Amino acid sequence: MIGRLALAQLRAYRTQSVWTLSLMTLLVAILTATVVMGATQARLEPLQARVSGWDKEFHATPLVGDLPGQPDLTMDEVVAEVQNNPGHDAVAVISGDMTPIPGPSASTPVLEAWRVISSVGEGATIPLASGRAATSHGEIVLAADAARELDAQIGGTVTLYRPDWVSAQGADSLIGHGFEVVGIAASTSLPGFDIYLPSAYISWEDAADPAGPLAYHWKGSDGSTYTSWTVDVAWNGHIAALAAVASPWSVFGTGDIALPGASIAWFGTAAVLLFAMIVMAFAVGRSQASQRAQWIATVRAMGARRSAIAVSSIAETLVLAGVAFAVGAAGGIGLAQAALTMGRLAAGEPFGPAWVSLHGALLAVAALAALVPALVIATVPAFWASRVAPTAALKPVNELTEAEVSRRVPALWAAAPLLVGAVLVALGTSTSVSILPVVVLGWICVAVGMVAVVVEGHRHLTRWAGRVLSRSSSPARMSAGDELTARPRQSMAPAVLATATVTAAAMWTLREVLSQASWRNLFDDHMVSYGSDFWRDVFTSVTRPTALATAIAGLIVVQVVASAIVWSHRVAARQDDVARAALGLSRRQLTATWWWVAWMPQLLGALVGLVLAALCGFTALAIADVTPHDAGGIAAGAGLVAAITLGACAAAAAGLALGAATSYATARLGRASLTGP
Amino acid sequence: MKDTTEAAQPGDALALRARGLTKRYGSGPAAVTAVDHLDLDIAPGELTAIMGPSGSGKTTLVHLLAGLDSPDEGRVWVGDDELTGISDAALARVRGRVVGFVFQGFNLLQTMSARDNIMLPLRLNALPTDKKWLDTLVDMLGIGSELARKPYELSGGQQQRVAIARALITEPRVVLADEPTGNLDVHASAQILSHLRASCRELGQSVVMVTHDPTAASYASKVLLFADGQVAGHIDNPSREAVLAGLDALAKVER
Ligand SMILES: Nc1ncnc2c1ncn2[C@@H]1O[C@H](COP(=O)(O)OP(=O)(O)OP(=O)(O)O)[C@@H](O)[C@H]1O
Ligand SMILES: [Mg+2]
Repeated sequence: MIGRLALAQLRAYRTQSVWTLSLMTLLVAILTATVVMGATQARLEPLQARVSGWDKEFHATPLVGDLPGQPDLTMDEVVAEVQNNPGHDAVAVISGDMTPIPGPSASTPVLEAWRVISSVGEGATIPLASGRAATSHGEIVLAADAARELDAQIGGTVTLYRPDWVSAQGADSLIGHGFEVVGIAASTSLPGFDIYLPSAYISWEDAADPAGPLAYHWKGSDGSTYTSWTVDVAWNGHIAALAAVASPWSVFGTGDIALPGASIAWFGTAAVLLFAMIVMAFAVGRSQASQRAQWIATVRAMGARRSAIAVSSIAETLVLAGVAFAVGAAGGIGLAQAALTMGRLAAGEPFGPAWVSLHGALLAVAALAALVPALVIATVPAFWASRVAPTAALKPVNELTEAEVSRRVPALWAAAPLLVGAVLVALGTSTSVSILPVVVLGWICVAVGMVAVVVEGHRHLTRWAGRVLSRSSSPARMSAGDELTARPRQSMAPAVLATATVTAAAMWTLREVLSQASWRNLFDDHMVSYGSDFWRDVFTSVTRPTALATAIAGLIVVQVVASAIVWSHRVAARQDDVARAALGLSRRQLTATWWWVAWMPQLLGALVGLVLAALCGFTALAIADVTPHDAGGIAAGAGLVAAITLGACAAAAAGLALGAATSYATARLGRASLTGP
Repeated sequence: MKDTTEAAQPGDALALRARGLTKRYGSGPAAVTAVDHLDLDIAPGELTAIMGPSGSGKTTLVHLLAGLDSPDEGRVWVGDDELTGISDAALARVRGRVVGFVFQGFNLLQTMSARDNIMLPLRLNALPTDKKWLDTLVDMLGIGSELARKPYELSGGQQQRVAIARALITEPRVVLADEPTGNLDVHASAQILSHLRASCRELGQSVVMVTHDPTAASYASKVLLFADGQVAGHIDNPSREAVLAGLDALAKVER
């Protein structure tokens, strides 16, 4: 009985079920992919740490060389300890920077620093892809991407340079070292993952040579020259001589999950998606409220008990959650594997295993992530349905009118958390010792208040815009205005999402501009001498691929949600379309009507977003107290505000353009036969 | 059946004309021919009633005549304007200014008050508001005290009267009404039908109304008996008894 009811219910709300299922699946897939990529990153970390000798129980960076301050160990001692203690997995790694391309001028000798290492001991390992390790003087193994950059093959020769630290000009001159390439190692990058591998590996003979490329030379005050190396020593267990200089600290703790930087974009997308799903559940649920109430009333009239209907709703949810989890988890693993495979293809000679790592407990988290929103989403339509009067449910009155009139939030209520929050923040920060919990609570109140004010504000704004539109002389705009005035809540969700997108874009721009500006304040001369341009740098950092991907994902999600809401709204109000057609609206005008209904809230949302962005930008500038950087003679204030505005405008324009297209598609596709059932 | 090409002459003084009108729903074995090669002439100033069993295609026919739906075959004219094959915008113009439509399910806009519903055709078609005509309609239909209310606050009969007012507010040449008196009491329906008959005679308006009520049909100057998507017969200047007899005959044919 309950199973059959649940099935019937699923069938009755097929479109909504499909939408919800798709979004939930997407959410699970994104979370699973993030988690799987994190587990894979965690698997990669000890592997790459091993190359640099960072994966052992103990680690030391002794002072090695002949400096007057009595070095901890000489190079010979280091090698002896590492080699004469078998079973401890000991390794010594000499590292240093070299450059493949000399800089353009004496003051910028190095354009690109490559980490070059050499290791010795039983724990030594290099991720060799082809050829052999560098074992004697003048031999080198290049990482695949480094070799590609130099267009070098095994058997060829390359020259790497390093600053001559001891020459009279300081670091101004470079000394070239010629090498024969004997092997190719894994690439230093794996797109989508954080990899830290050397660009080249040379023989220990060269590395430990005081005249070799990895030795540092210092000129003492007495005029004599000293030599030193950067050496990492690592081992397991107890080695007496090394224990004296050891730091008992495992450098890289390797947990179950280590999120690569790129996963921030994934999490961002998942968060937007989750928010959007809940918003959509409310909006779509509302537009179907009386339909659902009618369904419940009808089924009850035919003998179903209220409890059976409730249980069947939960069963419906569980079915959706189960399918979303199964498909989403499989899809997410596939997505992560695809990301890994593509990264490996892009890397050429990739580092690490070819398959992603799975983690049971983390998949369980993804399952929970499916279940919680599913529960919320399933209860929302029932909640709305319960607001429709039972007598109204069986009347041939259509859709949401009952629900629409049943609830009003006083504007003051929305603003209250904002005021309380402001007071709390002021209290928390005004005392000499700032009271952190009060401040945090205050900011949470401010955030909640902001959302409430934006939501309520949009309701009023939409009504106002509706009234303006309904005074238009165009029948389509007039009808759209009537719709917006009559059902402002339907438009709220897309409007709020648009505001959030634009504000977020502005905040992101602000953040990047501020970090560029402070960077510049620190290194101004340096940056200029590198020929770096402030605005170009800002543009590059703002339009980072992860940021762009998140922004695009966010925009798409906004559109998916807005379309779903308008679509369900339109289906619910189809009788009105028929009536309007009979009263003289053409099909094109009906399409235009719904285009306006779909697009207008996005326009309002974007405009409000711009205003909010400007407000937040100025506030942030006032708090951050940015000093003007004089690169290019731009005063910080005006420049920053211009940048924020540009970022926000770009997001708004992209959103509105995309919105115009999807609104048109929704309006056109929803244009079913006028007189059909 | 008349030859359609011969009948398609312009300049006819007919209010409504249809030739070879056909509408099918669905496909395969489930296909339904709701209107089947139908020819129809409605003279100006005539009140025509369409009667027939449920599911015989009456609603489909009036939708086709109003240009709300497009036929699979055949042609429709409203006055001299052919509806078939014209642009969507031109069709909308006819629906808005020439034809008034009363839906079987009223189709009032739930978010608008009764007054706004009645005035909507004027707004949508940028027509001037004739205050006197509005008052006349409201008086005649007896909905003066209901104007500020929303449709879901009205009874079925009151909604029906608002729907009739909305169809008449533009003073259309042709009124198509799908069971306009289905939810009304005897007195109210008599008033409305008298009014419709009067405006046919005096203003030359043409009214086509679908009805199941022989008394309502007796107000018409002509009753078309409809069965299986075709006109099975007609009664001129019908009395209630003649209509009943006609329906009886139709039922016998059906069997
Ligand atoms: N949109 C549709 N899709 C499929 N079949 C339809 C559709 N609309 C109507 N029909 C079918 O077409 C036939 C005629 O329907 P129509 O609504 O015109 O009947 P009617 O004469 O108005 O009936 P009633 O007196 O009950 O209102 C019926 O068999 C109906 O099932
Ligand atoms: Mg009908």
